[in-house]
Amino acid sequence: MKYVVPGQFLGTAEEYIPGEGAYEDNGRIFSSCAGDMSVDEKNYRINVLSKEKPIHAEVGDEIIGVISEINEPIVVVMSEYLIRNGEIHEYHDRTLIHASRITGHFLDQASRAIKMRDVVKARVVSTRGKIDLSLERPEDGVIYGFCSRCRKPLEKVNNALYCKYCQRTEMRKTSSKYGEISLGLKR
Amino acid sequence: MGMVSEVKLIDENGLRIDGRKFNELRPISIEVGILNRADGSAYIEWGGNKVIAAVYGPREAFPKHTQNPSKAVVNARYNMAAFSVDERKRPGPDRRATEISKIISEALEATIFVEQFPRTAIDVYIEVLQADAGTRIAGLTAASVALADAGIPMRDMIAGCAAGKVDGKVVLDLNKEEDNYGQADVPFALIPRTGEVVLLQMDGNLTRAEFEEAIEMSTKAAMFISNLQREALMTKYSRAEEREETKEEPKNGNSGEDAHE
Repeated sequence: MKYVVPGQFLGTAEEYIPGEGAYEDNGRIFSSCAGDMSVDEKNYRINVLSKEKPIHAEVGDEIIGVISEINEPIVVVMSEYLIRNGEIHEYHDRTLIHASRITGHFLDQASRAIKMRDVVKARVVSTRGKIDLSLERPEDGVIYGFCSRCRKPLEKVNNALYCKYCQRTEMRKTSSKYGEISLGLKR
Repeated sequence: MGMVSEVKLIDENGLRIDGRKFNELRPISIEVGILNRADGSAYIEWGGNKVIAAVYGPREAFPKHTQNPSKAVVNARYNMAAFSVDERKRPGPDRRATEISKIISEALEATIFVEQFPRTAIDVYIEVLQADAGTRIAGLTAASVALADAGIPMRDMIAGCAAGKVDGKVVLDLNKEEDNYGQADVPFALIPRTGEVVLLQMDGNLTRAEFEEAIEMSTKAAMFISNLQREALMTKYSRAEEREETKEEPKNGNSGEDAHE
């Protein structure tokens, strides 16, 4: 393994074929990315795999994020992680949930089912221009909530969230996996 | 430019106003990956210049009519902060910033494999936080490192430098005083591997011999800056390696304890 930067000479066209992240110019092969160079001796190919390939949200991915803004009927989620095929990736973006996609039925105010700073798990439903999320599935929803009076973590009691310090009950669209922050995913 | 020089810009020993020789660069430092929201980013300090570059994309180009079905469009935006110069600059794009954005976009398009990403846009934002002459080249240098950090395939990282004429002498890498009171300024950028010129402008007048001398000095300087760019990327890579090693260590420790139990 060798780290190479764009424009670095890797080999000649007589020896190898430029694979991913490499290009040929005038019989010589150069890197087109910054990353680890690997030589596939079987297929005579030189590949350069960039260390951090930016991951982009696709429909069907799951996102874990924090509610940063509620501007009825839109809720803004600052996403932190993206889950695809059981693998978790760091992913920072501004994603949106519309009030109609929170409970699956009519909701006049998004803030009835979601509060600021709640941690939510959601599914990506659209990536055209903006990234839209949905909380309609039972496993999606708030996975960690805070009391809106004292900001201490809430506990799930029956179908509601309870603050044992204020002895108050709050309503959220909770995930069936409430409180399970580590979902047994590998990085 | 063209103003009558009242201060002597080159003294009798041949040293410039900041003590440099005629072919000496200002100190340059480049840092990679400073913004965690951007796909790629870089920060450059070039003498008194402080510039941040951020890269986003390739992503779907909006509005849709800007999409090119055969290649990606490179949108560079050069912007000077209001506080970047001595007297407050009116914020927003002006005639100068629009021109610089255009030439930087064209320079970057020459090195990126744009044909690999049809219908997309690659957005490059260059923010000048502190200006001290030569910001377009500093911005372009940072932008090409940021592109490499974003993993966008390209032929080579663009490097460049400005040269000019001060007190009748051709000098490298003008500073603010020399830029304001000198006779000419030639920003220049090239693809180091092939020597193809991707950006060349001239403000003021030079004779042919002077121009060739300026280009020769800039080319040498660009090769040096190209090495700095590579080193900056390597530094980020080695840091990432270190972090990964430290991450793995506690894991090994745990498994050892388990075996003991």
